Amino acid sequence: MLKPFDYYRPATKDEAVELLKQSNSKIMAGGTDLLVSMRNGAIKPEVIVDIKGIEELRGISIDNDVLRIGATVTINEIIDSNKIKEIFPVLVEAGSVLASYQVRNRATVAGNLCNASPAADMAPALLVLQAEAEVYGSRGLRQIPLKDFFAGVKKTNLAQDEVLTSIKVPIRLGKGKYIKKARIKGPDLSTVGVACFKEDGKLRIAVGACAPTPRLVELNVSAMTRKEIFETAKTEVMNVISPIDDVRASAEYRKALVEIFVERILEEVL
Amino acid sequence: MGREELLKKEITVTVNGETFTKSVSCNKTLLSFLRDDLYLTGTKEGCGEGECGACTVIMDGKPVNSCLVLAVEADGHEILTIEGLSRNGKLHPIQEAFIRYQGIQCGFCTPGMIMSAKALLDRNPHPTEEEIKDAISGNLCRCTGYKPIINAIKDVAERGEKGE
Repeated sequence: MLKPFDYYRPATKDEAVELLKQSNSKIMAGGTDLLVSMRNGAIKPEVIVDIKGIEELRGISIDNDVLRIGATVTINEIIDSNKIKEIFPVLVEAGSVLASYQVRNRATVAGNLCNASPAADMAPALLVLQAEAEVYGSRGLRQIPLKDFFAGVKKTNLAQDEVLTSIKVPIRLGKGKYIKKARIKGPDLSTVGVACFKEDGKLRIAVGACAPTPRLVELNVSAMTRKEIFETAKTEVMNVISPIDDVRASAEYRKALVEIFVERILEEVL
Repeated sequence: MGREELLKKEITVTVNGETFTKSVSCNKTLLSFLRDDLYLTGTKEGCGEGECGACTVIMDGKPVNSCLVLAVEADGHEILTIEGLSRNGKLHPIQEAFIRYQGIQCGFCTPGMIMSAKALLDRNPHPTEEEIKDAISGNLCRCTGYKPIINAIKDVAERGEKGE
């Protein structure tokens, strides 16, 4: 049983921002994280602001070499998008291992980021693609690079009255991959998630579920030998993660897995 | 008017082809609305948190966990539940196959499982075994070990009988 709350479905982002000024309000997009948190009492909003009615938050588009993913775009929309399959298959890979088909029909990419679970599957993939969050609030529009978006476990740098309106990804040629370790073959949170993207002399690796926030490493590998790339990548990645023991795995297991996954992912991408 | 009344909204939902207009509390899930307001108790609550799939219904052609949809979100939308599959007392081919292959034991996962299967065959009439497993991976079954369910779905696909 969910505690009683009031529900609004604004038609514009200004209406949404006005409603969100109430400190006991929360944004609802897919609702697949929100409702679970409300049910287990982790959060108790008295006002729900459903942003699915805001037209400009919908859809996937390409403008001037930038891929724009609207805030209400679901994970399955990403997986089914021919544009995204062609330009950034790493996003399709990450989306495909997120929860179940039913959840993916409701869950949004933006929501996965805003919920800010350290294990969010879309985060490492979007980090290595240098995604930016476009955010709108009472002070207007601003862009937050995704690497500056996460503040801690389930915390972002969004203000109470701010809405993530779209995710922008600069379109570049390169090779990406996402590997996820989970306890079972079926739907599960990631024990460890590693994404990688290589374009020309630049290599980016991001790791999820191994620190309070998803962690990104950016390397310039143009002057490195293959052996140096492997060694530097592993060292740099191990430096930015701080895994813990939890129900899914021990810190030791996660560290061991990250090293192996960095190797595997580089074998594929280099 | 008490606070309870203020937190209600009127919704219009089409369920299994029939349109209903009802007043619901904002905090009511679609699952609860189907079961308690419309008496369509075929859809089950297994976990209430979108992990087991027992509450799976088809919303605007897409399978969703109805425990994670608010009734107010369903306003203006179309829902298909297990009750909407059989026509004039005749079972849907998927229901018949589940019986033939013994894909049902306790039956609790069955409505959700069949809705996932229907949604799969609607979007992909000839799925591979891997695709079937992926499509039903959000539906947990404690009884059958899944093999008979997979075989039932394969059979419907092979016969080209996905039905309507």
